[in-house]
Amino acid sequence: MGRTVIEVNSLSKRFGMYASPAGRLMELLSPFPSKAAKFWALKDVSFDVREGEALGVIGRNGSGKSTLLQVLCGVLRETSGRATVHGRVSALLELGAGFHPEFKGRDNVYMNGAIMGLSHKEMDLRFEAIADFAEIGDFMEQPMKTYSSGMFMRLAFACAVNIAPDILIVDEALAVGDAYFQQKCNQKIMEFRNNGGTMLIVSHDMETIKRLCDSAILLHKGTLAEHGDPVKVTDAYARMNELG
Amino acid sequence: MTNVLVFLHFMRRLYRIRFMLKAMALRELKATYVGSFFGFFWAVLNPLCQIAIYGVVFGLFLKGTVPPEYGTDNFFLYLVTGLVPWQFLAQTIGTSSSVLLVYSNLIKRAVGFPSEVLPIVSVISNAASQVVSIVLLYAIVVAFTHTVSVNMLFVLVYFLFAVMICVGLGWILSSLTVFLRDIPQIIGLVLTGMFFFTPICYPPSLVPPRLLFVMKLNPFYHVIEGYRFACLTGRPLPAPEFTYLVVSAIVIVGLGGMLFRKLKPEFAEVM
Repeated sequence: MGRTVIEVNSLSKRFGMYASPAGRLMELLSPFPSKAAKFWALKDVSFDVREGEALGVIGRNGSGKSTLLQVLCGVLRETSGRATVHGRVSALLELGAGFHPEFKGRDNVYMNGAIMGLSHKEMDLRFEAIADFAEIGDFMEQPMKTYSSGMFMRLAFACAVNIAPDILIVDEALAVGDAYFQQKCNQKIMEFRNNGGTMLIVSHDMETIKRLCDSAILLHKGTLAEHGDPVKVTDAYARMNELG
Repeated sequence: MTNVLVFLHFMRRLYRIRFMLKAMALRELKATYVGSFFGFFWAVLNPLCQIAIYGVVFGLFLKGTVPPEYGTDNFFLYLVTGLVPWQFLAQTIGTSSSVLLVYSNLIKRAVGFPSEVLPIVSVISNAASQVVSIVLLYAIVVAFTHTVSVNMLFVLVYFLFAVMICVGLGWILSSLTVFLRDIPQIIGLVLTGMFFFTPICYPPSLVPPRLLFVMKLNPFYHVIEGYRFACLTGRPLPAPEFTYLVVSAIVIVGLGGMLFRKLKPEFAEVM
């Protein structure tokens, strides 16, 4: 195990609850302390992920998993504490965010690369692999509005895993395409893992966590309830669910 | 001091992601024309048609007279030199104010996406159209006056300040629009008002002096006058006006940057 690539230090995220976006704007610009109701989605969460490690994130709905991932992806900003991520992150959360339906698959692949910080040249090197993986054939030259939803997701997934990320964030809902393509995805994820890539896996499937992860964290109501060996953490989760 | 550091850091980052800016601006342009028969030809056709419409109404029907200081008695030329910069300013502000909503997908989902570049992307794609328009403008001016002057290139200086103002306003308006969806509606009205309350299709000499003073507070006024002076007289703007333009451009960019930075962390939560 190498250096630490994800450092989360007493991370907290608070959402303000406002009656309207305009009310939020007023509070943001006002010099006085906010009076809006607050909701803590994450409270004082700390953990590290080392290079090459696979960390499982489990917890019930609303336990703060998505918020944690969004903060790590840089979509949301932490309220206090720190979340530092070293390296290029690719998230298999919301695939195809940058795709434009009017443009060809090929154009969208390059655009996606540009958004991820890869130049046209760097994408040239990866394009072949993406096309091979997506298996959409001549549709690569067609506007994406003509794609079936399966083709759309396949191309999106192919882009996300083939841009050579340092850190891969996988949300369990990997129901991309048919059984064949799912298997291919799993294979790709394993390959990434075996090549020493760092991973963060969010899943409700305890078997997946035990099989893929070196360690796991359990979130409960925004706090870190358990951290350590996947077997120990998944057991704690099972106990928590029994008690109700 | 910290603001200067933030600015330098931002410029460095902008340079690093320049290919992303290019790809996105190109896509914006393409998206405007994708599927249309004339394609990019619209970039020429559109300003030409607008110039023709305004030219007929204000140059032929309402036939104004040009004050002597503009060095021409052709009202059509006076009109065109004002319309071209106006088209850039109005279009850019119109598109950049809603650019964050258009790309809300990226803001909500894309890993570490720098949303502050979106208004810049919108300015760049509109600036590309403006470059085409400036070439047209040069052609029209040369065709009518039969003179070519190096001073016409000063247009580019005023264009640069127009770009700065648009980036600053883009930051301000787009970030506010995330919270207040009424802003694009208001902008439509304000732009219509501004078109008529800026001497574009009439000479400033028609405006009562006290009102003219108010009009001159609008930095667009000086961009338009700058284009006109450069094309028609070859002279630069008077020093006080030019200084006002420079200062207001810097202030707008600075305020815009500060406001955007303040509001940016909340975008993903609101959208």
